[in-house]
Order: sequence, then structure tokens, then C-alpha cells
Amino acid sequence: MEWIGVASLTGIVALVFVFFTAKKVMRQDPGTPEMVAI
Amino acid sequence: MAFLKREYKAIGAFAMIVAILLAIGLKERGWHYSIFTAISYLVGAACSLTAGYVGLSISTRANTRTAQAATKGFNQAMSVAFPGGAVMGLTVVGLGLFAFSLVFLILGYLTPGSTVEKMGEAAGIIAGFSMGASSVALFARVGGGIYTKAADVGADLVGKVEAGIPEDDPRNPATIADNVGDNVGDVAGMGADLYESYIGSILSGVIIASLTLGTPELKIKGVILSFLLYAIGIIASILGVFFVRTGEKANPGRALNNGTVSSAVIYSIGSFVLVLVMFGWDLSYFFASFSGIVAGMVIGFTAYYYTSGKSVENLAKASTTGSATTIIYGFALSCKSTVLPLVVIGIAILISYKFGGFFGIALSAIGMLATTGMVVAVDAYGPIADNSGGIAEMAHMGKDIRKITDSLDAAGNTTAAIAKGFAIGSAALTALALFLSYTQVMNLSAIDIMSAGGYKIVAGVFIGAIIPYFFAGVTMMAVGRAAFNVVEEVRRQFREIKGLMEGTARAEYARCVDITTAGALKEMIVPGIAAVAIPIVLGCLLGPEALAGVLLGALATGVPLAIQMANAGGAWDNAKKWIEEGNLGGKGSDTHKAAVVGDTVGDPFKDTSAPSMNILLKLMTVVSLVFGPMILFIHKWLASLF
Repeated sequence: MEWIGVASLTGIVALVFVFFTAKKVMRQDPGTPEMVAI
Repeated sequence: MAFLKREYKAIGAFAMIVAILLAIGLKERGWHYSIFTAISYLVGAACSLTAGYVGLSISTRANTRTAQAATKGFNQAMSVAFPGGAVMGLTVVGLGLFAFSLVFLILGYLTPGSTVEKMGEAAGIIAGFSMGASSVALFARVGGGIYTKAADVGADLVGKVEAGIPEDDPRNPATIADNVGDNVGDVAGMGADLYESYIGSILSGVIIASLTLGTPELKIKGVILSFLLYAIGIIASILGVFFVRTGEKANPGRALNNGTVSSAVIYSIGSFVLVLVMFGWDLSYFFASFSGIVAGMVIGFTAYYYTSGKSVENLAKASTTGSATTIIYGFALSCKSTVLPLVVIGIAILISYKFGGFFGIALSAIGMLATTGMVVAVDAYGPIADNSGGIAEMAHMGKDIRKITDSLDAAGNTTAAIAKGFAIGSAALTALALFLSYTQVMNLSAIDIMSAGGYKIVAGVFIGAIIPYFFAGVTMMAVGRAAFNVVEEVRRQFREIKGLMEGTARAEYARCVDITTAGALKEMIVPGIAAVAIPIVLGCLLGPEALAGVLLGALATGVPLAIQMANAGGAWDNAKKWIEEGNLGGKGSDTHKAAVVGDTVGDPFKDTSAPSMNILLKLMTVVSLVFGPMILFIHKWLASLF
């Protein structure tokens, strides 16, 4: 069963990667207020 | 996000009702079994909803950031658009594997007995998790599919055809609903679809390993192998993201394909090493899994072949003689496009069975879906690129920016065709693996049509064969009805808002989003209930053997029908775009008008009915699997009455 725990941890690794990737996207300039409104 | 919130409320209510039905319906197996199945169902559904929410909220923010980054150059725009898609892809697999394995571990610890007994019991209960994923996928795909096409038809029919204004023009009241629809369909819809396949195939691996493999040691190893193959797939997908790199003059399509192929190669090497470590030089399970990777690639690229290049140019040439020849040629092309994928699926089944029996078929599905993270990332990139172009147009950002976003979008269209093919292929293998799990759980060791009860199986096959056609009809008519309301609203705004056509007044975009949302939610009720109720009702009335026939019949017609509709829609769409580039008379010519007819017919084919079919096939099978004990009980009771 321990190996299934390892698989679960890999899922967490993916979620950590998601967190940093999302932060990278959000750091970008969203553009003018008109673009954001669209 | 407004659509998603309202959709989630509807799904939440539906999920609670189904969870209560599960808890009551399965009480014959004991309260422990039924309550935990209901909880697993809710967790599976909640994870799918969370993945959809995270993916959609990032992709809608990435749209505008990609358009803004395009002002600095192509490479900067690409470095926002693709990570935006990668968030969706890796959330689907990360959350999926994390939650599924955690629930499996908890169920294992709560179940008394040996490790094999724990795994067997947990495998039965966790089928509820897969059904939760399927329920959300059904609504995301059917509701999202109806939404996206109703908005698209409303925007095009009144805006482009009647008012003569271009695509994404800010004067069109339905243009925002149309852009929202792209995200709802291709980001949330595709994510939920592949999340369902992802969970379904690991579930079938776990069930078939714990029921069919010979020794207790082999059963345990089989279950662990299923989980670890997915773990390798996640690592391969993360590494694949780093292979998507472009220079200023690089081809974005090639960069995206590099990522997909790199993930598959890394996964293949990783799975080879894993099988070698676990089973020594007996590499049977590696070959079974590898057959799935190859099948997934071939099916994806077949879809690409039939929806691009020469295929599309020939279809466009058929438009020179009118809309009738456009429809005939497109239909014929889509019929032919089903041949290779079905042959490849057949070969994958033969090879994987040869190497690993029923468990081999489940491993083939796992192999195909292991790199789902990368497939969804590439697919979700498409609407981000598309919408960034729409924003650039609406914000009057200039031709140079539009050129960059157009080139990002062109790559997205190609990869979307591949992902759609992949989604159907993986749905077919997953549904088959789940079907095998159903036969094992219900002790249907041999489905023999020559036996005394064989006529029921044959009847079941015929009944099952018509279900995909019924479903396609229901979903297409739903698009027509929902689109009608949008068309009426856009016409009203053009009529009543003074200065809208001149660009001095602002359209009521939110009103169109609202009407489309309400229409899509209303129209998804019938198909949603039908997909869950049909297998339960038929199973209770005709028995588990006939239900197996129903599932096989639906699978046999549903897969080619889904491939045909997806490829027909894709080919008609791209033929129209090819003419719009200036070929065969270009925009406004009679050839273009004929191509537009083909595209309009193909829209609900490729974006509503075909994706819904993927879900229908998996959901019917997993409902049969989860409700199997109840179906058997009620059927026996009904049989005793007559």
C-alpha cells in the first residue's frame, strides 16, 4: 500500500507545479482595463 | 465564470440526489459499502469540479495576458498561452491521481482482512469515485457543448450573416458569450472528459487486477503497477511542458507536438524501467501499456489528417458546386475517417490481451491516458490563443498583434483536432476496460449468445446500438432550441439599442451570456438523466447479461459515430477557413457560402454531440458497474413476479 502513497505524492508534485505555473501566468501584465473588461 | 457557477449549482443538486440513491440502492451490500460508495462518488465529483474551476479561472485570465504579451513579441505570447493550458492539464491529473489514491488508501485501511481483500473491497467502493467524475463530465460536456454552440450560432447567424459584421466584432452582443463558450467547451469540457477517462482506466486496472490475476502477490503487484504507471505519466507530462519552447520564428504547432511526443517517449522509457524492476525481463505488461500509447498517437494524428491539408482542400473544392456536394463529400470523408482509428483500437485490444489478458486491456487504456496532463495542456492552449485574438480584435490592438495571435490560434486548431481524436480513442478503450470490469464484478465470465438466455444479449446489443443515435439527436436538437433564444436576443439588441451598429453604444453582453447559460442548463437535463437512467432501467428489466449486450452495442456504434461527427465538423470548419484565406474565390463567394453551410451543420456535430458521446459510453458502463448489485437484486425480484 506504501507504493500507492508514492503515487499520491506524485499527484501533489503536479499540484505544486500547477501552483507555480499559475503564479507565472498571473505575474504577467493583464493589459488595459478595457482588455480586462472584455 | 458566471456560467460555471450556475452549472455547478445544478451539478451539485444532481450529485446529492445520486449520492443518496447510491447510499440507499446499495444497502444490500451493507451500510459500510453503500455509504462509502456515496462518499467516494461525491469526492470524485468534487475533484472534477475543482479541476474545472481552477483551469477555467486561469485560462480566462491567461487570454488577456496573452494578448498583452503579444505586444512584446511572439515568444512572450506563447510563454503565457501554453502555461495557461498547462495549469488545466496538470490540475486534472494531479488532483485525479492524488485524490483517487488517497481515497483508495483510506478505504483500504478501513477494510478488515488481508491486503488482497482490502484492495478488492476498496476497488468495488471506489467505483463510486469514477461515477462522480463521469457525472460532472456529462454536464460539463453536454451543458458546455450546448452553450458553446448556441452562442456560436447566435453570434454568427445574426452578426456575420444578417448584419455583415466580422467575427469577434465588439458590436455583436453575443461575441462575449461566444468567447466564453470556447473556454467552457474546450477547457472545462475537455478537462472533465479526460479526467473521467483518466479515473475510469485506473479504476478498471485496479478492479481487473484484483479480480482476474492469479496469485495474491500478482494481484497486489497489478494494482500497484496501475498507480505507478500514472505517477510516471505525471512526471513525463511535467517534463514535457519544458519541451514546448519557441523562438521568434519558430512554429508553435511544432513546439506543442514536441511537448506531446516528448511526454510519450519519457513515459515509455519510465514504464519500461518500472515493469523491468517489478517483473524482471517479463515485459508483457510494458507491451500492453505501450500498445495504448501508440494507439492514442495514431488515432490523434488520423483525426489531424482528415481535418487538415489535402483532405480539407478537396472538401473545399466540393463546395464549388454547392452546399449539397459540400455535405455529401464531408459526410463521405467522415465515414472514411472512422476506419483507421477503429482498426487501431482493435489491434490495441488484440495486442494488449495477448500480453496481459483482460488486465492487459486495462493497461493499454492506462498507457493511452498516462500523459493526459500534456494532452489537456495542449488542448486548453487552443481557446486561450483563440480568445487572445478575439480580445486583440475587440480592443483594436492593431494588425501586428492580431498576426501573432492568429499564428498562435492556427496551431491551437490543429492540436485541438488531435486532442479530440485522442479523447474519443481513450474513451473507447476506457469504456471497454470498464465493461470488462463490469463483467468480472457481475460474474459474467462468458457472454455466450448461443446459450439459453443468449437472445437477451442479442436484443441488448440492438437496443444499445441505437442509444448513441438517440443521444446525438437529443443533443443536436437542444443546440437548435438554445441557439434560437440567442438569435432572438441579438436581433432585439441590434433593433433596440441605438448607435450599436455605428459603434457609439455598447451591447448588453451579459444578457446574451445569461440567456445562453439558462438555455444550456435547461437543455442538459434530459440527456443527463437519460444517460444514468437507461442502463439502470434496462438492467433491471432485462438482466445483467442483456445489459452487457446493451453496453457492447452502444460501444460498437458510439465510437465510430463520435469519430465521424468530430471529423466531419472539423473538416467542414477548416474547409471554410481555407476558403476564407482567399482560396477558390475567398470570402463572400458562392463557394464560401456553400462551405459556411457545411460548417454550420458540422458545429453541433463536433462540439456538442461527438464530445457528449465520449461521456455517454463511459458513464453508462460505470453506472452499470456501480449499480450492478442493485440491478441484479431488482431484476431477480421482478423475475420472481412473472
